[in-house]
Amino acid sequence: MKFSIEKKDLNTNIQQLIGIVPSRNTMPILTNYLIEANEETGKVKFTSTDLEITVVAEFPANISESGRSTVLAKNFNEIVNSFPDDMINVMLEEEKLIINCQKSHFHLNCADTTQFPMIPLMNFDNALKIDAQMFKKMINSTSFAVSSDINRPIFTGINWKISPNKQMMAATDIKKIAEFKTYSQLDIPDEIELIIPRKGLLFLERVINENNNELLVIPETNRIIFNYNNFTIFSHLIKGKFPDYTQAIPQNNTNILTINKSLLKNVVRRVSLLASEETLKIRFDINDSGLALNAMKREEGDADEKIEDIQYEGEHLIIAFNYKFLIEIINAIDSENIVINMGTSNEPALFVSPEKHDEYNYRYILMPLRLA
Amino acid sequence: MKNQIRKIIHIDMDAFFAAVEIRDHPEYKGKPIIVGGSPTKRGVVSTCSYEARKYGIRSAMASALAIKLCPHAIFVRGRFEAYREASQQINQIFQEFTEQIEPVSIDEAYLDVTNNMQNFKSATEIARKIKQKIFEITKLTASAGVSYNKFIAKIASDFDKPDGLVVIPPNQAEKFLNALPIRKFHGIGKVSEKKMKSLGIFTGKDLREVELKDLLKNFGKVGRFYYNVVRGIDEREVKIHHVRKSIGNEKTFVKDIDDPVQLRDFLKTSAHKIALKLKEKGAKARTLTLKIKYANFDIVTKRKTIQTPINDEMIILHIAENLLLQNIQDKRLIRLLGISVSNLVWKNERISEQLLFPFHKDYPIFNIDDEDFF
Repeated sequence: MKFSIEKKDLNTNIQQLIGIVPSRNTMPILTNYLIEANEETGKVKFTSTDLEITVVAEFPANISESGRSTVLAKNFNEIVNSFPDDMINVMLEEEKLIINCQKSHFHLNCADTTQFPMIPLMNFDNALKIDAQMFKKMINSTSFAVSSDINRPIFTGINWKISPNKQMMAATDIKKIAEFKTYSQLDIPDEIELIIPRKGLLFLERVINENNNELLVIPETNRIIFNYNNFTIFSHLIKGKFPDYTQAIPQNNTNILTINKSLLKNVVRRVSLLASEETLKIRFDINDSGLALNAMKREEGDADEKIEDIQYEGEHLIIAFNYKFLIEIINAIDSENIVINMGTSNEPALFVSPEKHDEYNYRYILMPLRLA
Repeated sequence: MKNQIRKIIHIDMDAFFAAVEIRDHPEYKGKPIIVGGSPTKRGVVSTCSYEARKYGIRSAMASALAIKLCPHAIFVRGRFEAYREASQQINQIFQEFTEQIEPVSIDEAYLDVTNNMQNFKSATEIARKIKQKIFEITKLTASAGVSYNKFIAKIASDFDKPDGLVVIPPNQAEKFLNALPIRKFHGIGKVSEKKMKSLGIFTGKDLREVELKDLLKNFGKVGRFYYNVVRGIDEREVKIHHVRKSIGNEKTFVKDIDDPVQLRDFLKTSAHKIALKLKEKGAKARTLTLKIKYANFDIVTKRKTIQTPINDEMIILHIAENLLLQNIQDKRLIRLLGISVSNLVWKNERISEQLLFPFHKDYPIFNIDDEDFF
């Protein structure tokens, strides 16, 4: 195997790939990339997998000899990163992978390529075409609500529902819910509902850019395959039925607060400097005259700040939230103002935008913290 | 603050696990109830009702022995979710009176009510109100001890169980402690008790007459603790941030031993206690440490760290046994054996104040938790 490529071309294609390499190495071979060069197609292929998510990056290079090799992914990325912007030469010689750039020479030991899991070739001719920018926005708006608790696997993915005229993504970690709907025509006969693990979607979110708006998708029973630019992503699906979280969405909350988004975010950030590190609690004390936020750290002190510039309809209410969750939700709202619909201090609060879009809408629901 | 006389309440729930079971299963009322492992599977008693105690059944006793003592005892598996829920309700009640709360375990806490929120002058009044409220809300009874330090408050809460309320003001402390049999002193274990008796110390009064230097000579560092507490001196504060870093259990054997059966029996009881504590706290541990003190006071500690955090009794026992087998030196008598677990991982959502969406109940956690505990 022998090829050469500009550093920046190589870098764009592999910088996100390292994120797929498993952090815990239960199978040492998976800490490697499988690198394949094909003289006929003029392309190199880098494959990374943790067995649940597999990503193949395939891109053009000057190939003078076909071949394959496996090399420690972390080393490869760090070496390429450290090089100046110039041509990089990669070749396999006597079971060592040699990487040269200007006067630097690296000789890396290689693992046995036959140990690397086989990745089947995919044909995307009949794949579903999805608006990539909107898909990115959907992931961006919901992925923060995905749970990392592996004891409840159903919540560790995003619920994706597609039907001929709309798409929806939803995620919850049983403390907060994020839901994003978009309306567009899709070429599918029936509704499809899947639960996709976060990792593969986050990879997609990072690589989707403004230059290409076409995301190809093949949903299968046990896995889903995406193709975007040079990347093919295989992700397993989470089995089971996503909860009917809609029952938990409050319908008749009567305490309604409208507030400027960046103002709220700044004050929450500031007051939370003295929030307890254990509970991350910040308290809202709301009435017609304003919203008072306060936080307290037992040994260190407390903070409070009042925002008078609000609109509020409802009764005097004291309610507490985890400020990190609050900031995540505020960040996910893309309008100037935020509307928060609250019930009592023990009931879920609904966060929405006051603006209506034809193209999409979203809502966020957050469970409060106990006041005591 | 230092010079002010403190007002400390110790609240201890009565036969907590068993009481929750009786509350939720009225048909158990008046019967000997044992919460713990099955007698046929080499289980151990966690808690038992007062009716069961009449037969001599005690916590940490082998279930097989318990059933011999009381053949008609009813064995129930622990429901930690229910215990934790009751414990949280109780903790909320405490919070109405003071922020100075030190939870010692799932069913026991110290409260410093010197400066309480509702400005009650009398700690006794607060203790009575807390007991009332606990009963109103949880239908469970608690025993309370009221005094000016933690040590006396704790002994007082145990003095008139169940449903007791014992108040020891400073001017009665001396009389109270003098009359107390030494085994009632919290912190005096079986080994120390035996030693004290051999020295002619049977009551608080006897202990008070021993000089500090003699206590230090016979009991080491802990001798100073005995010297102080019998004089009603205990400056320990009610610690609100009581974050445990490890949970341990050790035993000094009455006689130095090398009998593998006895050693294993101790490991078994100890693993049970530690697993129980972990479950109460909603925590799991990644590191287990075995401590062996030989008859000549040589101490060997060996530890094992594992990838997946554990709270399972059988796994703790298995690891501890392996450590013991690998490290025990032949033909040496052992004076003390202990297990502790550390590197604790907390199940945050259970202990935190975060409220959850109701649908979480439809998705129980898949792990070796409460169900397989016993």
